[in-house]
Amino acid sequence: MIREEIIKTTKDSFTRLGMLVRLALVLLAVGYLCSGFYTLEQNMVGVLQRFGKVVDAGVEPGIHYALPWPVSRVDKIAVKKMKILEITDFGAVPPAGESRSADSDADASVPTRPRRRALQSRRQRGRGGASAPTNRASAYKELTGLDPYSITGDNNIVNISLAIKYNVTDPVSYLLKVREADALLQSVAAAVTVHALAALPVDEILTIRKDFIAGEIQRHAQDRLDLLGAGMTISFVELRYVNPPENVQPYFNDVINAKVEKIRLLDVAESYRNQKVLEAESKAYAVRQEAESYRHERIHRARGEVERFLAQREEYAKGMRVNRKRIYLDFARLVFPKLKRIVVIDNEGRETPLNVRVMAE
Amino acid sequence: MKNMIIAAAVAAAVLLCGIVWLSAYTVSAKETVIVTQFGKIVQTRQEPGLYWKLPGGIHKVNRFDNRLSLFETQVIQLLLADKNPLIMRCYVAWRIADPTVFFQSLGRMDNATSKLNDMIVSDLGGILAEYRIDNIINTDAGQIKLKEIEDRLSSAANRRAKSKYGIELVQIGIRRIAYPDLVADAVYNRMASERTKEAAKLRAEGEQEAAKIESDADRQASEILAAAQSQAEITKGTGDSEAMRIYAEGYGTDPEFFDFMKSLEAYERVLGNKSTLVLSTDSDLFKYLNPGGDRKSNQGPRE
Repeated sequence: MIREEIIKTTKDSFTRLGMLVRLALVLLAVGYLCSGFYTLEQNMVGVLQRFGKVVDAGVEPGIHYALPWPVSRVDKIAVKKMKILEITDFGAVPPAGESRSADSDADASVPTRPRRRALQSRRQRGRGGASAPTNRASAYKELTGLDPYSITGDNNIVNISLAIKYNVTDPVSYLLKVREADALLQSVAAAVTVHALAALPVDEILTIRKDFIAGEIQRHAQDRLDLLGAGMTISFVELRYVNPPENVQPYFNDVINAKVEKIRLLDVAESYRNQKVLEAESKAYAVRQEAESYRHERIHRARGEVERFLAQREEYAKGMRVNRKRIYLDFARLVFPKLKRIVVIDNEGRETPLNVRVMAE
Repeated sequence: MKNMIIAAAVAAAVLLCGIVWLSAYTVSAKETVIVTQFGKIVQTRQEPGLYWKLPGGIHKVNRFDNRLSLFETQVIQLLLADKNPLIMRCYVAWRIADPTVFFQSLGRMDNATSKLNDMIVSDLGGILAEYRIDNIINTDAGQIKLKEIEDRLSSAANRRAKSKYGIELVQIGIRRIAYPDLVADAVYNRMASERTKEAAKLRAEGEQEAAKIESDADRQASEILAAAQSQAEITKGTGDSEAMRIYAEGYGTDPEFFDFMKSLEAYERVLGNKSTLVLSTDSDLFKYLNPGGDRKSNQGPRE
């Protein structure tokens, strides 16, 4: 009886254990099957593979189910997300221009010629003591033993850094055809940059050809990516910094200063010219005005004199003899008193006793 | 009894699962699998899918990535045809073209890059010895042979890589061109002196052009003034002539009276407080001083 009891209880506990195990197994199986649910974000595309074979290359965003590992596998790829890759192999970031802007401003106001000393600084920097912005540059130098720069078509050296915006446009290719897609883009972009700069003179690279260079880089890099079937599309290439090397930067600044100085000199000359011409014009105006007034005066005086003459003559004509004498006597009365001395002589030339000096005094 | 059957079934299922687990393998789209039996190649699987093999270490699965791989060559210093030294670095995009050859010659993926590097470095050295610096950098894009160099390098390296290692070099690109330090320093110096020259030239030009503008301005100013003066003379001339005409017209009506009046005016101006006038008693003014007195005389005053 007791034995039976024992057997029964053990049997019971066994069945209870069995129940538990079964429950656990079922839970496990359900959990396993449920792990096949997955969600795709809005900007994602899924590549569904079953036993290695691609069965759906474009799973849309949303909740989906796929048989769990090891049967199926889903790779989620952010196709609409713009990625940015920076190419810094060719220059310090951010280069001379930024950190130096304060200096160059000072340069502009007090144009000082750069010293040869600047040229020695490169080596010192290469040895050690790299400041924060040149960290990446020095890391690059450690890796390759080279200063980061690129060579231009006219045998000059420039620093350039670019940012490339791209996204995945062919998820299957991106996933299955290339191993390190981003590193590949980096190499390809560096190569096409080298090619583009090798065909241009430094002055154009630094000034007017920036857009052209960005365009060239985008076009050729895309060509190469397409040849490789990398499944990436470059949407934008931006030249972040294009600068002469830091150690010759002062010389380039000096050229800019010289340009500014030249413009200033020309401005000064131009304003001198304006002033001179204005002055001359106002002087000329005065001269002309003076001539004009001279003319008027002459004419008016002539008219006046003639008027007076004619009027006198009219009066005179009324009584010729009398008037003539009167005029003469008027004249004598007016003029003679001013004289120093008047001597009156008679017909024979002798002085008459009458000395009219008194009148003059 | 029933329990026994269930237990046996479960055991059989577990065993089956184990066997399946051990003897099945998948090949994904990004890889190639070579199945070897004690080192000997049994099968090459390039199509993705689920495959079977003998379990228990008899068949070994060797997986190779058949995607494009990338590596960058070491930095190489080269001598061009015109004895210019140049430093170059290439990137190489490659993939396994013949897994059998690849497996037999290299065994593992990691071994490939150093072999490829050596091969490409030596080929690049040979090819670049035929080009001058003008073919590498030139402001005339037509003279640049970089693409040609890449293509030649690619085809030369490909020939060897394919037969020897079963590798296809899909793309080779020159991703860095640099100068040896000494040359770079010379370039920096030249750039500096070129800029110095340019700056000096700009300054000289500025001064010269400014001087030109200034002298131009002086000339312009004096021209304006001269023109005004000549115009003024002309104006004055017309004034004079107009006045003359008016005089002539007016005085012409009675020349005798004019003569008389003008003479008087002239005397008035000529005679001053230093003048001594000698007059005849015959003169109109003094004729009454003369006892013989009223002779006619037109004689004016005399100095």
